Amino acid sequence: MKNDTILVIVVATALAFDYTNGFHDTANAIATMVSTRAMAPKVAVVYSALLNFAGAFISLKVAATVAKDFVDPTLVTPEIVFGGLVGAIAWNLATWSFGLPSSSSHALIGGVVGAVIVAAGTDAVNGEALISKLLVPALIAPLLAFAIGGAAILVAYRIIGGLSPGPVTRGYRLGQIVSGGLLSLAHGTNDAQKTMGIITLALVANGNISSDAGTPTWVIVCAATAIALGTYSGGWRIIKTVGTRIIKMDTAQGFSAQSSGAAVILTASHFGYPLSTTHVISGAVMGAGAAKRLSAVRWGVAGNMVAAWILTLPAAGAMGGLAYGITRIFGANNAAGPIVVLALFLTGLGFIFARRFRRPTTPTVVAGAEA
Amino acid sequence: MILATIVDWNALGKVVVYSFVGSVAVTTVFSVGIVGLVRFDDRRRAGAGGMAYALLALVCALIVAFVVVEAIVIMAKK
Repeated sequence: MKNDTILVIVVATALAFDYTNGFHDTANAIATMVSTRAMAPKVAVVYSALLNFAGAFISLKVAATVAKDFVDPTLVTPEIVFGGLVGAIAWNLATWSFGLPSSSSHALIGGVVGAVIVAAGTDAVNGEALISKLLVPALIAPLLAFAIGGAAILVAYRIIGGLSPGPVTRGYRLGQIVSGGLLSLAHGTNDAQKTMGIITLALVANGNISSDAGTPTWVIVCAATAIALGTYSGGWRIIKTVGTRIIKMDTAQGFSAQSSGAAVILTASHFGYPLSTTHVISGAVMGAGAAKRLSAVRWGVAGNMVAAWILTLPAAGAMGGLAYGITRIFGANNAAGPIVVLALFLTGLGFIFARRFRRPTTPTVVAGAEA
Repeated sequence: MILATIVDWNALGKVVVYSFVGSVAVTTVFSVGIVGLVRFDDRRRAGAGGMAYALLALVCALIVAFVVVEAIVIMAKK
């Protein structure tokens, strides 16, 4: 069953997913910082990228794969993992092109579930796990963060009321830098491990390492580097949405949203109830805005985001299933399948990028939006 | 009810309570620290001392620093 060509393709695709995960989720950590001018945009992405890189080394208790709870792990082949990754990357790029924050983890799970359904049918999917570990948390995360972000900003306004705005703004900007740093570190720890897990799984499946072997050092370094490079590249469309299009925030709101988001994510992680960073931060930003004034939130933008969250699982699943289906046409353990899928995918990407790059969203554009 | 059996309500309840308390507490401490710093600066400019406010701001900064370290420990233990 050993096929080093497929293994190389799966590893490269996993690192590409890691890269998109980085730039897609940069907004979670830095959007409010950039929006309130706590940091210059380019400094913020460097800061976040370095902490994402460091975060990847903080904890190395890598799970076999992010999708193992949701599908029958004995059925997972490198081709299925490849299909799932392609589906997740495609959904990440699609939502990025519309400037919509969505969960990269949900996209990856959706992609793998879609590929497994095409490979082995719906019986290979653990529906209960999908409800309890993905759908219910996806419902709770934004609502909880909304309530907590709202409560935090009301407390903050109550305490600082009457003080001159200059020093207060400077104080909360400092707080934003600290809380944004924590979010970046947490993102590196959580999300780089998903890529490490997938590459390790592929190495085990291909017989390169034994199933009880630890994650090779090169895998850790590559995953950390890919997510850091992705973070550094920005993802300015989503940063613009989270930082300026949901609400026009002041520094107290930015700090409340970020610290509430960090508190929810770390508490959930501590109690083994992982929530999507994207859902949490977006909910906290909306809560910090709505607590000041309900009409301060652009509910149309919020509605688009929620629609993207609802569509993530089925859309990534459909694309993952399609990618795996094309791969399967060429037969099992045949590298021609993944190569053809990659060629089709890259051609499609080239077409979309050629159109989108006519009007790119840059740090300057984002900074200008706050002025 | 299917949800009653497949959702870990115990963990979810803990997440709701602890994250709410933690978030409001951190925001409160940080905001009080800002108040301390601003009041200390005002008093110092007026030549009226204000060391109690400086001490308040310092204590708040130490608490926030402790929380940050604790957060990193949680990440590392995960």
